[in-house]
Amino acid sequence: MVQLSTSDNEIFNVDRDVAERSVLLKTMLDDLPEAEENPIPLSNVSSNVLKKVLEYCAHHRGDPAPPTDESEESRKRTTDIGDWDSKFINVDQEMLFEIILAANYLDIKPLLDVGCKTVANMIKGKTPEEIRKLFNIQNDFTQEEEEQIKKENEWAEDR
Amino acid sequence: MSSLLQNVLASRLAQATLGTDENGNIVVKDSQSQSQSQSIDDWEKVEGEEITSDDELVNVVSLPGTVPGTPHISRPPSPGGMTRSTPSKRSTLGKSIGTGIARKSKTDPLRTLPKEVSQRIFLSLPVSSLISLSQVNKRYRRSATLNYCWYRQCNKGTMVEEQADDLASGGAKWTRRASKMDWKTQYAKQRKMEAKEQQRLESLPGSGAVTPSRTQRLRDEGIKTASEQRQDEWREQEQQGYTKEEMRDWYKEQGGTKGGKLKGKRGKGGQKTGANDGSLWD
Repeated sequence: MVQLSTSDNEIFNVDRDVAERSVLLKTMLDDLPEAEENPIPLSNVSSNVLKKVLEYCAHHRGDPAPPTDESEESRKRTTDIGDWDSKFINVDQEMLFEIILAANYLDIKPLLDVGCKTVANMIKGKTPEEIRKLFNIQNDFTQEEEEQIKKENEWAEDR
Repeated sequence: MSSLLQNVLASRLAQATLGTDENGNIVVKDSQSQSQSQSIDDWEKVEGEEITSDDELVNVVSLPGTVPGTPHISRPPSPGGMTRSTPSKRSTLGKSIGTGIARKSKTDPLRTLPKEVSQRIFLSLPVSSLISLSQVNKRYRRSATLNYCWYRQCNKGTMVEEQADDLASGGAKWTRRASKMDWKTQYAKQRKMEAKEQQRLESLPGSGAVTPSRTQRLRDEGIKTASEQRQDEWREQEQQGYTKEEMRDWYKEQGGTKGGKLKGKRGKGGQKTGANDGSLWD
């Protein structure tokens, strides 16, 4: 068993093979044998996010080792997400971004991938205005700049 | 005496800090050089607004043998300055969350996510989405991360395996020179060229074959170019072949100079210095 403590000081007890889905934790546990006795502080992850992340790790605990670099390219290109994963990642946007950040921090490549693909799928096929609305981004262009941008992107119109 | 000196010094100091007429030149010069160095950085800047967040700084590598770029003198020291050179995941994450200001969107990929992650997302998007993204706002328009995506689009197919694996090794690697270019415009140019070429090919009757070159056309019409004529002459000469008698006659015609010169030289060169100088060493 491994103990993980979150930014809001909650302690999670996790099986080692679940924790080791995270490359960061795996190296930590491999390098520091005493890490198993003391809680590992994850000061960047809050308990509600870690709960989600561990849910993912537990479901994928038996997965084969992450694929080698060669197949990573092909994995990157495909935008489909597995059934369980797509249900898992069906969360509100803020949580989605938190999960991505946690997966990046904990170095859980497959989870990071699922998150990134989800965001990419959200962006795909949207107009600039729709993207702004999607991510709650302010449009800070002036009228003049808008005109100029339109002109700049004329080449792409007839595609 | 000393109080007088202090007075003078104090007034000098006041002038220096206020930048009055006497120091006017220096002040102007300073601001000029500053604006120059600022223009170098303009990819990372949006009119007046300095983007300090890490996600705008896509790793630039100096290739061996290239002169390192101008140091960022004009940048005000920011708390992020120290961690910028060490792209550790932990620091990037902490900062991204920490710098989030309440009124700013928490789900703006370019703001919230570290650059490796937003790269990962944007690189998987088609060109049409990249165009949309570049029109979202000023930050997106000048984003180095998006520029890198355009750079990759431009170099699709010609990318070396090593470069394509950038993502695996934590973020993009490109040269400072490349990072300063506007790759979206570059991509647009490429597309325009391709479209033109396509149009030209379609406008041609029949097979859509390329217009034959001048040499090809001349050859088809049986016209020889000057160089072809000369080559033919040389070929004829080579093939002629001479008999012994003809060769001898030709040498005689030359006045025996061919062999003669050589003989003469031998005669002169016959005085071998080394052999006769022996006495010098005895």
